[in-house]
Amino acid sequence: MPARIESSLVGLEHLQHHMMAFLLDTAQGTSSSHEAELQRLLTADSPPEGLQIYSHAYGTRLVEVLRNDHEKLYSWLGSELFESFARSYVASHPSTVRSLRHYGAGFPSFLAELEHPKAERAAQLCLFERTLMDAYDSASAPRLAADRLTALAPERWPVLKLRCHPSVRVFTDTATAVSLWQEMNGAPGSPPSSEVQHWLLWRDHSRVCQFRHLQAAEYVAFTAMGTSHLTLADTAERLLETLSAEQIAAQLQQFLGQWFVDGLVSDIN
Amino acid sequence: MTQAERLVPNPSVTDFAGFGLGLRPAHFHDVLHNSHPVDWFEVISENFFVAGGKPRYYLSQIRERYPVALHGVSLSIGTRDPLDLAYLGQLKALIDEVKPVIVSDHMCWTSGGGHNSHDLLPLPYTEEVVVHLIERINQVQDFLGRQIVLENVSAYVAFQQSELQEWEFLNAVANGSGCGLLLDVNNIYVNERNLGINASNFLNNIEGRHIQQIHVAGHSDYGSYVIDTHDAPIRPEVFELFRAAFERFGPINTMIERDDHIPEFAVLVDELNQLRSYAAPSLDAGDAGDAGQNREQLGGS
Repeated sequence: MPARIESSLVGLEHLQHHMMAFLLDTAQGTSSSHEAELQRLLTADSPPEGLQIYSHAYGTRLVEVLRNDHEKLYSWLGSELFESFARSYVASHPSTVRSLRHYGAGFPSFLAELEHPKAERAAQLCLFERTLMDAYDSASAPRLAADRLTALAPERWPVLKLRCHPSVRVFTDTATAVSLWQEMNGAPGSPPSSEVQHWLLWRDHSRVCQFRHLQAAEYVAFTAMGTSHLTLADTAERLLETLSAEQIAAQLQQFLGQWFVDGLVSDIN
Repeated sequence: MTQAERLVPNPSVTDFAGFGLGLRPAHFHDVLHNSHPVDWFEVISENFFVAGGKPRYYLSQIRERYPVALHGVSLSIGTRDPLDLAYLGQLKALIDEVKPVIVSDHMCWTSGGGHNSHDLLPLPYTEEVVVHLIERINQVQDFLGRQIVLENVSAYVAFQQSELQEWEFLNAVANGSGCGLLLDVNNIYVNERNLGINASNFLNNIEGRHIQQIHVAGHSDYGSYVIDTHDAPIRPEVFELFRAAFERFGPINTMIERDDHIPEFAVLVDELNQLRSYAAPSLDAGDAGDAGQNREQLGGS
């Protein structure tokens, strides 16, 4: 590369280094030592507000992304507290993603580490909203009808394994965040509980996200077959800790039937 | 064979597809189920970098009925960081699925040092940056196996380093790389107000043969400066600039960008009809426009 070009591109790199550093500094709410160098690079007739327009846009845009992705969290925290948490996240998490869809991926764990009375529930509510987002735009796949199950030869049942639709998620709620989400959505929430609750989430045939509470036995069965890909026989064995031996066959049949009705199963083998 | 000759041309852009809108989720239902006069749609590429679900479903349904253009905001063609091949891979996969009539992004930089600004940051207009861009555009076009189209951006700062006018810079990049240009007339207006460029001079000198698409949008006026917000109706002065561009360059696929404070679909359709009325004299005259050979002056210097 000719020397003049290399020299000019060093100038471009210099400009880009200072501009990005300026944006990240100002997102932290502090003045930036890079601003003076940038001003030196600008023409005299650039608008005096020019650099501030860019710095304002950076922080505002990212906070807005978090607000749009987390409507229920925003409602629950209120605008002031949400803004405070979101600004802190933006200040400490420079964007490294090309698509803003993923910018808030670290927001739940960030909230969980805050020293604030609402931190734990906020983190869970945030994670639940992100889990819904993940289900919403996960990959498409076929869904098996229940007759595939009824047509299964008897000798295949013990070794039956499932492959779930890519949208299926299990959400473990330690702070009754789902109940809070339901209440804010206008539906009666689950009764308050100090126990950990498990929820099954998926995108249905009409591409709408659904979720329902998993009782202990169904949680064990689903994590065995749906998550760990165990056989039906191995799943039945696991259920011995939760159900009596006489209950297991009928209960498993009911669970399987419901999973097919819900459209959770993409394949069996 | 030159780089430009090796490129797969954007199919159908040589034919005038008409007047389009930016496709927004709030309008999916109206687009598919109601009668309307929108000829084609543009989507933000990165919004569809997801595996599936409702957005991808609606996009495929709409693509079956209308031409679709992919418009990216994160290519960062002007950065000194290496090209992001993972990003390009996602874009290529989307192109293969959607088969868009145009694939566009911006003549700017958005990322540096591994961080993303999510903003369309302006470049200094120098010969050296032209060479830098040509090299990278060639790489991108080779990777995608097709031509890309790049948009002139709005700016709130200008650099002392610049030695070219913006139109000279755009012409040089397009001539050297074979990329197309997306002419955003609102951005020209914004830069006239903010940076004192001469909009008429810009239109008189940009080479029309590179222009494959026109954007029109609203902005926010703060008196001493304006911001390219895309959150308001198109202002009369921007309509006038569009009329001048359409007269000069002939029928070019044109669309309205609206990214915030998104109104009912019918409101945007009305605005699109207004846009058509500004284009009507040129269309009625049967002026094929053309290719930048048309050199009559628009009144600027």
